[in-house]
Amino acid sequence: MKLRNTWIALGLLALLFVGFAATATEPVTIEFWHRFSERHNDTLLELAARFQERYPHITVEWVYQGSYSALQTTINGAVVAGEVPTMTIFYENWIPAVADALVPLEPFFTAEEIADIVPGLLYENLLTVPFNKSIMVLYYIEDYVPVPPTTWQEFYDLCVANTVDEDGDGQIDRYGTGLRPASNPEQFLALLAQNNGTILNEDWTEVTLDNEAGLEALEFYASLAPYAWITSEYLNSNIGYVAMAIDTSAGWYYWNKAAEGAGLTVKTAELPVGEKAASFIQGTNIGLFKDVPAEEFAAGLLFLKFLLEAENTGYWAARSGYLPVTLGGLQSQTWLDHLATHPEAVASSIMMPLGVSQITHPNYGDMRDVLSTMCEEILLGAETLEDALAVAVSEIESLLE
Amino acid sequence: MNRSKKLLATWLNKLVALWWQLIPLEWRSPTFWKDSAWAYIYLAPALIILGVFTFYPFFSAFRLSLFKVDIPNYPGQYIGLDHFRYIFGDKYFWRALWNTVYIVGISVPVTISLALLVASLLNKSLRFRAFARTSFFLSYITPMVAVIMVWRLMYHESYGLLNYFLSLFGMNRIAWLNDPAYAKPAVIILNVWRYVGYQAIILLAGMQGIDQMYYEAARIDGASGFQAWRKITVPLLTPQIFFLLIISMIGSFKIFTEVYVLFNGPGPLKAAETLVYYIMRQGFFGTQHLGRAAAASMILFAIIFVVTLLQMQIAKRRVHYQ
Amino acid sequence: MEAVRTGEQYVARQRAYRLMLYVLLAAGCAVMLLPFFWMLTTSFKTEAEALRIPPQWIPVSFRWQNYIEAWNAAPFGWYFFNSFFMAITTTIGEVFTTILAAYAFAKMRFFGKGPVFAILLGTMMIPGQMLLLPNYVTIQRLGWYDQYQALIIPWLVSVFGIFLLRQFFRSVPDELRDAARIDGCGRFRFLFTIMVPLSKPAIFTVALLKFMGSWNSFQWVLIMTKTATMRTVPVGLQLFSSEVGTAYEKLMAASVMAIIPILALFLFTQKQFIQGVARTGIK
Repeated sequence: MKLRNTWIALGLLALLFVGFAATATEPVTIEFWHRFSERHNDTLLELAARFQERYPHITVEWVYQGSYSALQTTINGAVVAGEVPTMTIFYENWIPAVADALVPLEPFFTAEEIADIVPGLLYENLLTVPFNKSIMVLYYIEDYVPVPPTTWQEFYDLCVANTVDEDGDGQIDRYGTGLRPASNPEQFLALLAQNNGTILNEDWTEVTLDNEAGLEALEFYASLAPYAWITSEYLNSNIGYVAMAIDTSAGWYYWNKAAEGAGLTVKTAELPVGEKAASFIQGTNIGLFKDVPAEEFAAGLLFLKFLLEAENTGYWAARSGYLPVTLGGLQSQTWLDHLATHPEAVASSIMMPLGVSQITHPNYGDMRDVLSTMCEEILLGAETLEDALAVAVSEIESLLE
Repeated sequence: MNRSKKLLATWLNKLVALWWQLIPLEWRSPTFWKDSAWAYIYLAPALIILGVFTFYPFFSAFRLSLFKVDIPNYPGQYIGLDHFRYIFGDKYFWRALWNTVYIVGISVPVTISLALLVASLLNKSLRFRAFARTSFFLSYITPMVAVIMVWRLMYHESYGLLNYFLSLFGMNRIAWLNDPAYAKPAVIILNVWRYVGYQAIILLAGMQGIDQMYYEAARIDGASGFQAWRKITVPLLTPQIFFLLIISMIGSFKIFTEVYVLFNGPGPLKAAETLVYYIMRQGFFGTQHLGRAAAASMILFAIIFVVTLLQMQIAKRRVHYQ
Repeated sequence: MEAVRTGEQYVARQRAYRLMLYVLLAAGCAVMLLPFFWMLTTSFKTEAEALRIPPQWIPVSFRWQNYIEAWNAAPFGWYFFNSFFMAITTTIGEVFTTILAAYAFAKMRFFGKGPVFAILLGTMMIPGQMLLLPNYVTIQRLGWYDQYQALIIPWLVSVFGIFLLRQFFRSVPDELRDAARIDGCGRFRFLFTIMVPLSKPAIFTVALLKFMGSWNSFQWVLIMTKTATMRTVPVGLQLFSSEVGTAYEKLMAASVMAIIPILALFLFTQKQFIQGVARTGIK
């Protein structure tokens, strides 16, 4: 009861804030840290310009903070030094470490606004909101796989059929699919989600990876090993080497360019369907820092809400190759127009509402490491499936705390 | 009472006398202290800057290794040696240590030997040597991203040049980047290639510093070119060779980028995970065990420090200064 | 007759030997130049060609627009200015601090020499990543964040340079110092009028490597600055990569532009390596 009152109080305060920011005319600059490549520059600037059209007193300053580890170090350093920006993008793994420095945004959002966010993307207490997101889809080279599979059995059969030694030298020249256990265990996690499996139970008290659903998914994943190129390289920079792949929708640009160079045709499709249709979502979130002046925070909040508006998230997605992060965005005119001219985005757009994100457990980063190791040992035959799974389960258990 | 006082006094006297004998002779000369003052004036600019930007953060990292780091409430909770206990019980730490020793053990001697060969070659009065010098140096100045792209292609299973050469000799192709057995060799080859030109330049500068008079004397004595190389060039290069040995050993112990960019990870089954990669994986990739990463850094520091001290001891006997 | 034949044999052997040297040199150059060749040709490819597998070793397209597009993708004018500014100031500063410190270690006796040198060497053994966070906080506290001071002052010293130069200084015979002292030459003057000219190849090596190190520094610049106009060329190179792929053709075009200054510098300073002691005439 007490907690609810606090929320309500915070909510009222929030409305006050927003009202204040929207009506104030004192110029405010919000600093937004990101690490997008130069390809997205124009889009980011356009979004900031549109925002300023509506709120002329607020200027958005995009600050490029470079590589993955540089951004992470800068964020940590900024929190320690007490010199935080208004907002920054985060990979979900980084959030727990600085959670105390962020503002839970739930009180500042209406129920409708929250319901509009793609369900798989809701972070606890809305500590962060989604920004650039992509989902695992099926890429297939039409020259080798004319019709994409719709069930996992079909997928498996096509993998077998497409693992070929074309010049007869006893060495495989093309694989059915590509698996990246060490760098992308999310391929397995997509299969797990489809089989109704999870890593942990709802309240994070027990490991469920080794129940029936999990075991089945893992067995299927392992059965692909002879027909899969097992690597940590980007699949799109080895075009033609695999006939199909479960890969992130964000990579389309590079897949397509590489295919063009090789004289092949690449297309995307929804993932085949197991127990249910599902897939795995990855990408960054945006968080707002506590330790900034009130008017800066309020302006940042306005910009956050602006980015979530259907047309804007649709515009960002259409221009960047990522996906709209709200249900409204997925139905927005901009996005629908984009789909009409970009068939490759259709599969990801359909799958988005069915997607799941990584769990927000503070030790998820370590758990993911354990999963990678398990997947790799199984695929490379270093351990049997049972042994690797048993080790992984006990290690994840020790991470539950 | 009085007696014990006396006893104490005699003991103190003896202690002071002993200490007086133990301290080096030179400490007793006032010129030594004058020289010391001057030396520290010469060292001051370097020591001040290093103090602020290296020693201080080093101690700060050391402190971090004893904490369960909490970024918003930095540095967090003091936990003593827990991180060290975790690391010494982690099989991946030992694996990383072994991988690092393996890579250092092979790539350091190979690179220096090749560099010596290259420097000798570049020091000869051959045509195009300016061109050759530049091309050897290029591997060092070309940005890593460009280098890596080519090496990924060189190592490619079906299209790579390395496997093409192997096939010329009727050998089976090797999955350089995807087979745990070849992950370390792939890193070593890249490391040798990357630093050989750079080391050759340092040796070349050393060769230029050797007085021609030695060679003239050798010629008069009827020594062949190879003899002169063995008896004059190499011994007189020992300061530079020693320098390279230490530098490249430290560098190889800290090898990280090569692994990271070649494999997008620690290599298949972590076969190429080095100590620094281990540190990065603990603290900066996905997981944020900054305290654990700091503890591992301290261990790495201790290892390199001991090995370097050993090398310096050996060098005292083996390095010739002109 | 006999003598003539051995003479001919000698000439033939010499020729074979030289031929072998050239073959060795050519093979070495080929291996070293390959990535550079790849970088150069890729910088003229189209996007699709750059990603092509099997790789295209021999160029087909000549798309020089990549260079213009790469240049316009970021404020490269500023990046180059900052890189030059940072590299030149840190190199000059470092050469100065290095000469002083290396001389102290090579030719002076002082209290704590061994331990201080060991500690200095020790600093090279710490993974730089561990020092970034505390250094970020220091830079913020000093008020240097996003300022040139942050890019220059911490880099005015290099233990590597001190160590390298110490090795060279130690090769200079002590008799020179004694002779100079008899001539009434002070320590400071001796250092700069005799030691430094004698060690020219080494000092050029230190300076060159420092310049390159500064030119290529990336992580530090990225973390200690935030304004686009405070950043350097390698940060610009980073802009072409994302976690799902890389625009290789533009990246390579930018890389070519980035190494040209270093290449020019190397070609220019090569002469200094060659001259060596030939001109000092003191020995």
